[in-house]
Amino acid sequence: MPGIVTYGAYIPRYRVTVEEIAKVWGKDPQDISHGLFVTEKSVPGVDEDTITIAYEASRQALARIDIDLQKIDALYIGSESHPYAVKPSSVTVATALGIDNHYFTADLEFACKAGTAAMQIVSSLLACRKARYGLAIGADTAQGKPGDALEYTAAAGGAAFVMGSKREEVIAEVEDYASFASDTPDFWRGKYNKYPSHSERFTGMPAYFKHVVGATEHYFKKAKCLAKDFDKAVFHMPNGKFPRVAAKVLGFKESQIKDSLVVDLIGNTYSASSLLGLVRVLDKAKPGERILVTSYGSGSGSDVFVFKVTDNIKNLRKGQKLNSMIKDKKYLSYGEYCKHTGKIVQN
Amino acid sequence: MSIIQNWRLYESRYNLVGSVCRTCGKQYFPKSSFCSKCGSDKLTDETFSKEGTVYSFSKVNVSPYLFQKQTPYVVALIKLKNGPLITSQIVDSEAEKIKIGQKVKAVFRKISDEKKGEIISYGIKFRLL
Repeated sequence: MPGIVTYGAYIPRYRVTVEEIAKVWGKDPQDISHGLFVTEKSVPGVDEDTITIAYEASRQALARIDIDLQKIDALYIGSESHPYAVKPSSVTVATALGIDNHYFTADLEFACKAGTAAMQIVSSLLACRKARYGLAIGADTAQGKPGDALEYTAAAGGAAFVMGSKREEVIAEVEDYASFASDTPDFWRGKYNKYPSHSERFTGMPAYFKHVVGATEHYFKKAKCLAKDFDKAVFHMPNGKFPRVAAKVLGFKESQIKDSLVVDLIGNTYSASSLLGLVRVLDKAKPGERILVTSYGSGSGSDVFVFKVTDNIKNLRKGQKLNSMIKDKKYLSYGEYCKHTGKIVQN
Repeated sequence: MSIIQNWRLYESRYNLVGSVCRTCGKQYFPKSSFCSKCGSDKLTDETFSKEGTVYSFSKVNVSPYLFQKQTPYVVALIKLKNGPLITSQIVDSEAEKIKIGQKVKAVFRKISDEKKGEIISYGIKFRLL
């Protein structure tokens, strides 16, 4: 089976606190933080978007190995904030990285699970030997309507994984992957709408939990395994509460998921969320560890990936750890945050 | 700049591809087809290093319309490692924290604020190391 050859991440430097947002809208920040398990979120720079974030995460990944870029035969970016409605993000990222014209590519959108969808496509192309290496990227500059509950968590970030098939290069082998989907209207953004809408509490039980738990249990049944058979687990993180509850329902202990919970520090990075959780787990992973990742995308669907870390992880060049990117930050006022996220309309 | 003119510069803007005179060694960024130093037309493409040092810089408080959202911002002369002196922005740092001689590395960013319905320009800017 194919696997991850190298990985990278990117978190913009800017943050806005829940307290700063709550102050503007007359809400109690402690109430909100207590409910969401989030105290601040990452915000893109004024000149950053999904394309620049996807590029930076990919560059971090590629800097850790020696690879002929012309052997990257596939590049897929999952995001719900592609800068254009029509014009692919992937070709700009590939051109900037120096990849030539011979690669399979597309922009993907499936709310927050488009990043793992990219990983599924790349894994499948590698498995059927249509690609030598492939880049799977999840990146977002998520939008929350001013004053809406989502504004406290909708964040920015990206993660990129170069995947390949050579046993001597794979640091985390893909043991298997599976999906679970249904038509569930929990969160959406219309064609010409700037901000998404959501069905409030409906986003919980019939949406997130049904799919995350359903996909993971489907995999457990298929592979005849249980939570105890994994060293680490990653669940999509729309807030800090949902992945903890899902993990508990599925029989995982807090110790199995604690490394993945980037949401506590930077909020929900949408298509990058579960992938950044995987990056943080890989930053500490040891050979032999088994990692389960279950993403969630509203609308709705979940992808499950199971990885087994190999000895090759010890040989991967050290890159910038996700924790150091998270710590490098500058706080913005609400006004500056509005400027950074295009909430101020100038005619 | 028109969409097509911009497109022709992708290689230079995205990857710092310039030219080197094969007669006298003078380096150019962006590309040139003629050496202004020795008059030679024997120039070849060269991808320059994405690391450099701050040669000089200035803080821009009043900008052209397409850069208004980014103000205040820093425009700098960057001496690329083994490469020419180029003009670029330094991002993610307040001007007060930047010093001449500091090391910088290239990052990929939007060049200007997009106008509704227009193509977005991307390219290299720099960040303090």
